[in-house]
Amino acid sequence: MQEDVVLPAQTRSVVLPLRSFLFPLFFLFLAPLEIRAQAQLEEVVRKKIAYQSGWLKLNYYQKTGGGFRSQVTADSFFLAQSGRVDPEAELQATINAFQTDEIIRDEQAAHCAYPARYQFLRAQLPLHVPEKKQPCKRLQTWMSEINAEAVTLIYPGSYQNNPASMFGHTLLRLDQPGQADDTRMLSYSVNYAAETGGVGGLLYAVNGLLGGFNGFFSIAPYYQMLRKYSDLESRDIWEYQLALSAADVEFLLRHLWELRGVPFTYYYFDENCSYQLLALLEAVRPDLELVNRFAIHVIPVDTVRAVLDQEGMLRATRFRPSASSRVLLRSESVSTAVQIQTKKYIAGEQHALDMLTPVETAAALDLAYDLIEFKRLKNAGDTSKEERQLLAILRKRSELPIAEKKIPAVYPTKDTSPHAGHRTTRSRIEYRYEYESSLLDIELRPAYHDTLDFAPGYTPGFGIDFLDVGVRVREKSGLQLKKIQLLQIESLTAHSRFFKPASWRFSTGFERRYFSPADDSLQYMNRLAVGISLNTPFGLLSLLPEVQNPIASHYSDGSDLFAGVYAGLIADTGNIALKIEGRSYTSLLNKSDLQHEISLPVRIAHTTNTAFRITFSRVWYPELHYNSLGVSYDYFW
Amino acid sequence: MKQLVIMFILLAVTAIFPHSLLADNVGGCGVGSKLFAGQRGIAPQVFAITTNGTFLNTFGVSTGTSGCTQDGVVHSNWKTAAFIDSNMNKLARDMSRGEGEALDSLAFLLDVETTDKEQFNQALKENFTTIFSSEVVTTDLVRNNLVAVLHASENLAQYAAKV
Repeated sequence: MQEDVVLPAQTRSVVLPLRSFLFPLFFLFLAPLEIRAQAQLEEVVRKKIAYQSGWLKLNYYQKTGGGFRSQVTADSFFLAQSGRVDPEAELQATINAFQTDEIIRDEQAAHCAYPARYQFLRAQLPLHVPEKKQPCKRLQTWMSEINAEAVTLIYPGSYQNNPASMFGHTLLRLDQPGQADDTRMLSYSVNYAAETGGVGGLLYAVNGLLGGFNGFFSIAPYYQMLRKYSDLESRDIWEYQLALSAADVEFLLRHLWELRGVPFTYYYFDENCSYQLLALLEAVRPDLELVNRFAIHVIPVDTVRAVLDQEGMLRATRFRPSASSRVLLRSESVSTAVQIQTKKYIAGEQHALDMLTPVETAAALDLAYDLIEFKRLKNAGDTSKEERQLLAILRKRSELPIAEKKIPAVYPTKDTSPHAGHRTTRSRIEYRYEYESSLLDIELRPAYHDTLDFAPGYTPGFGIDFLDVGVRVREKSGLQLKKIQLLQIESLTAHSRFFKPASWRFSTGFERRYFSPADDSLQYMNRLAVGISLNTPFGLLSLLPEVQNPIASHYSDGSDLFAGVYAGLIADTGNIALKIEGRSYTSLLNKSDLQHEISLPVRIAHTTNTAFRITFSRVWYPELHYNSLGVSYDYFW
Repeated sequence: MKQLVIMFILLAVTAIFPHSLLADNVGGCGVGSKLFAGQRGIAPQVFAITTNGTFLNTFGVSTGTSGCTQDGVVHSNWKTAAFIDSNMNKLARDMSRGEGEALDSLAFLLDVETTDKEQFNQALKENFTTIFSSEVVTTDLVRNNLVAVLHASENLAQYAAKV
């Protein structure tokens, strides 16, 4: 990774007096001036090292216009005055700083404050960077407490009914030697997050989008992360252990030490948590090209894919079901009788478990515990009743000499791992025959997944479409805007014996509608539907009362309010999936006749990232009825 | 009978060390959560984590020694205490079952030998009611109880010092 630089003879010779006391007088005489002078790099050498990817990545320099600029926003991180924009000056200043043991930052000498830079430059320029005998005690203590030998990329997925989390998150775990799977929670983890200072709402959004926040790396025990993501937020977690060498891991720790308290520019869409983790990995392994794959937006799962796409990078995968997944998986692993008795027991029937065998009783108590604990964690109010109930369950459980019935690990197969799912940008070309004319549509959706897209790797019944834009070409009218769907969210979760979640859909954006046979113009439409979903033998059935708020000059007063019902069925057999959607509604303001729309799209996945769709739809509007039939090809990239 | 022995040791220990035999761990490092209490479970006192994807950047802010941590990592003296404090509900769950991730991690922190592991798990399961004497039991009480349970066994007593 690092090559030494051959230096001109005179540069080499002047290093000698530093290490040798054979010429004390000579040394004394020249010392203060000469030490600086020796550190001065030849221009050719300086340029070679300064613009090498190793140095650029270690200090987060990015090309801007004619020069460079670091993503680190604090001048205090740099040793040269112009260090943020001048990799060469920063390199020279760093070399200079390594000549002495002067305390320069955070009560440390340069080689202790910048241990990764030191290691990097010592390997690159052994003749300019003196070997340091003086140990860095704080750094050593810190590193030995963290005690890492491997790095695991952690991906907490989305959590139920929370659109903000739907894109997921990533962090790193620093695995210790001698640990088993069951003691990994003791490892430290590295997280990157924006410091928002408690700002919320619109201000949070604006700052997040425009770079008003700084991001920081932080470390905390992994059990703290598990409590946050797995328990409190109930997000499934995938853990991907990476094949980084022991030397890489050590270098990563040294580099993290440099980054303590160092602020980075933070942008919600591109320079976010997942982006910065990639940049961190690149700082350690400059040979990797991870960040450059992303142009406009960085979605966490795509960064997982970017890392795991590296040949031989994945060592092992592990799945951790969230608090709610644990309940679902556990309930599925016991008989219906046990489920029913458990439910009665939770409801307060003390003797509900008496009819069960000891093995069944143990399983019932484990299920009851997981369920009540999940509800307690979600409940912000008084939970003293749950707490008493939990302790009673555990006491009863401790009297049963029976091992826990392990939750079946159904998710962690290759097919369902998020990184194995389709990529997140979708382009579509569609040929349609609609209302006696043919159209060619071209659509682009930068993110992320809808409920009919190829499902492996994504949460069933979850969809989020962001900025779905389409144009169309029609014989007579030429090129026209078809739609700008700003946002559509689907959160469809089936009722089960233990959970009765609400299902909902929301969308907002421009779309076309026929107002008369000659007029299909753009309207702005808001839709919100809230109801329930059920698992049926045919698939996931949703029944959602819906309100719609169309805005267009066609409506008297410029807008209208519709109320009705949305019904949907998703039947997914793997490569082929079918959706049946229908809605009936009437205007609350104009007392218009009932209007109906149905749509039957069939999706046939060709590969993970390519699919065909055939869509039939029909509408019954007061002014007109018509059919539409389309064939489309989707490509995910 | 065994329960009685443990109760006796517990009383004795509490009498001899009025505050706690874990004196080195109180003060400075604010461990002391309740079994099911605090901010949705056990209070995140060691590492202040806020909600909504951002968390107080303890790593950046804390330089030098502060309470439980030094330069962002848990002080080795308080490692077990901090773990128990943050994972009491999971420890209770695992002890009642006699197995699990939190229990394995506790054994790891206490350097329990593989050959003693089964006995360790079994002892904590059998004495569950002693260790978790109520739903509002605190970290320090749990640790005291744990020490007493381990002391009651000739073989496990060696691990009590690390609690």
